[in-house]
Amino acid sequence: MPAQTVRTFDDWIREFQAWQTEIGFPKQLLGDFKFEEKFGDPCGPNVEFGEFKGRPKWETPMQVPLQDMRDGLMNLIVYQGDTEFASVEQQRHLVKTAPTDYDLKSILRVMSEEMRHGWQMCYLLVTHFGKTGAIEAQKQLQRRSWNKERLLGSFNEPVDHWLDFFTYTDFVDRDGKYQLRMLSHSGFAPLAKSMGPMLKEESFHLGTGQTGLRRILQAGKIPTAIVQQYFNKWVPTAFDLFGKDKSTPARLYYVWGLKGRYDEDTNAETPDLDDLNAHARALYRREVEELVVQLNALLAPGEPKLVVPDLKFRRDPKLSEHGGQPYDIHGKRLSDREYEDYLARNLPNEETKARLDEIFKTPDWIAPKGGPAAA
Amino acid sequence: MRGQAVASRRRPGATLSDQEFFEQVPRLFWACHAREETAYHLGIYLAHRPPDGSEVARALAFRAPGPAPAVASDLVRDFQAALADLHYPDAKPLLRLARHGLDARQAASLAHFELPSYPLYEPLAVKGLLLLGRVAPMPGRLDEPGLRGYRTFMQQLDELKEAVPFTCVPEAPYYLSRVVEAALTELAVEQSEAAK
Repeated sequence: MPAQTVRTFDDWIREFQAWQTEIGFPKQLLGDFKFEEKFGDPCGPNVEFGEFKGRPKWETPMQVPLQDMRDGLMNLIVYQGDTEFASVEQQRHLVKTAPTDYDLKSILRVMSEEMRHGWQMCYLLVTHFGKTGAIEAQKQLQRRSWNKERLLGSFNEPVDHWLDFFTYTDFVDRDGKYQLRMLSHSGFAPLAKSMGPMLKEESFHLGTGQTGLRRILQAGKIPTAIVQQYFNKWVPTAFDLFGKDKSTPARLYYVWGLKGRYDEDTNAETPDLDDLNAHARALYRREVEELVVQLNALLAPGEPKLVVPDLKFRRDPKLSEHGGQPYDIHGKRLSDREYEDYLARNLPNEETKARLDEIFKTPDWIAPKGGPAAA
Repeated sequence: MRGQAVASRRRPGATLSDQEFFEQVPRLFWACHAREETAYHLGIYLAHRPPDGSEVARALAFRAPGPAPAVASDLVRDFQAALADLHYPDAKPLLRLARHGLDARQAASLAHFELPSYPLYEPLAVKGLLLLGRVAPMPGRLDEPGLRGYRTFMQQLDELKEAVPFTCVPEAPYYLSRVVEAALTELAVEQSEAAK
């Protein structure tokens, strides 16, 4: 059935419900989860940075001084919303294979809250950006991750199983935290006020990922080398999500007061406007390294340590000067031929998947189901 | 902004304001959780529907001294029946467990590990609330007044869950009812140790 034109948010809600059905989301398992828009306190009443610093935050797009700024603002909201729906599409199969009832509750909660975040972004689009916003909100429900139509690379990759899910949630959702924190400083008040409740919910998602990986390592059934393959799959895509080095849009978003630095409220230094994406990526990388140190502490003596891939490994040529070049996860340059072999051995492959299929059939691949935590 | 101003004001008789508490929530939560993570993980990750006797025993043993209690099969059946009717924040279905000699603390523990929105109802967490100038009855018998006390405790936690800023929510796969309860418990422990 062709989609109806979306004019009001109620129209959009009908499309949203049809999307849930089409992607096979088990609505019957939602319980009393309520989809609604939520607004918290803004970081402050005035624009926090950029050329308009000190002026009252804008409550409507029409108060935003320039058309280019309004277009940029809508673009930020569109990209954020697209990731939210995409992640639900990526994870939708995993409901059937949850290792425990609590994991099932957790993934349903993660997916419900990601949908709510998408709902929140579409609410802003439909209620603030007129006909164009309504069309963009509708398009969020028409692109499909499995057709590789989502706007950002990470969100077109399949999430095949629970190791994949925990790695994705720990590292790709963590990029989401950074994006939301940067938007929480936005000069557009409805966007800034949307971020607090979203970030509060995101804490559960990030904890689900990191604790899931901890439980896997505690159980000791999945070889560390396989876990590393999934780090190699996701972490470089998460680096790419921060965007291009020396990005003009990032500079403009900052100058316009629409998207701040991750540490905007604590960083007194004058920002390097050519370095905004790299700055956020560096903070993210440091945080991920600390998490991986915690994970490595769980490994048995002699086990190879997990590694955060180098910033040069497997990067998108459109986004990084090192993109498309043959580097290993330690940042060592390889020959083209070595690189081909290296990727075949260090990314999830058919052999990995077959091995995992066997491991997932055993009840104790994740703690506490006979792993050390349950002992 | 107004919300933050209210949260930063101390309530009458409080040792610290909600805002002062919120800033300590991640530290307090992890300190409490570190002591009991294994038992807590067994409680949540081995729970399934319908619950069996081992799950009921684990929930009753959580934070309780001594060995896990023996669990009669009719208690398990009554708990399964109560679960079918439990919808947060209604706690009345837990009254079915009263005939087994359980108190409100134990009933809350059973509810929490199956439906984590229901918080653990612990004397130390009630003391923690008191340090914020918030009053809830101590857990007592499992009867109508006892469940009203649990309901008051839940309402106090709901207010804190709603008001806690995202910057103070630890990255953890646990429901906010668990995070806030554990932080309150630890607050009371620290206060009591400081008073010695």
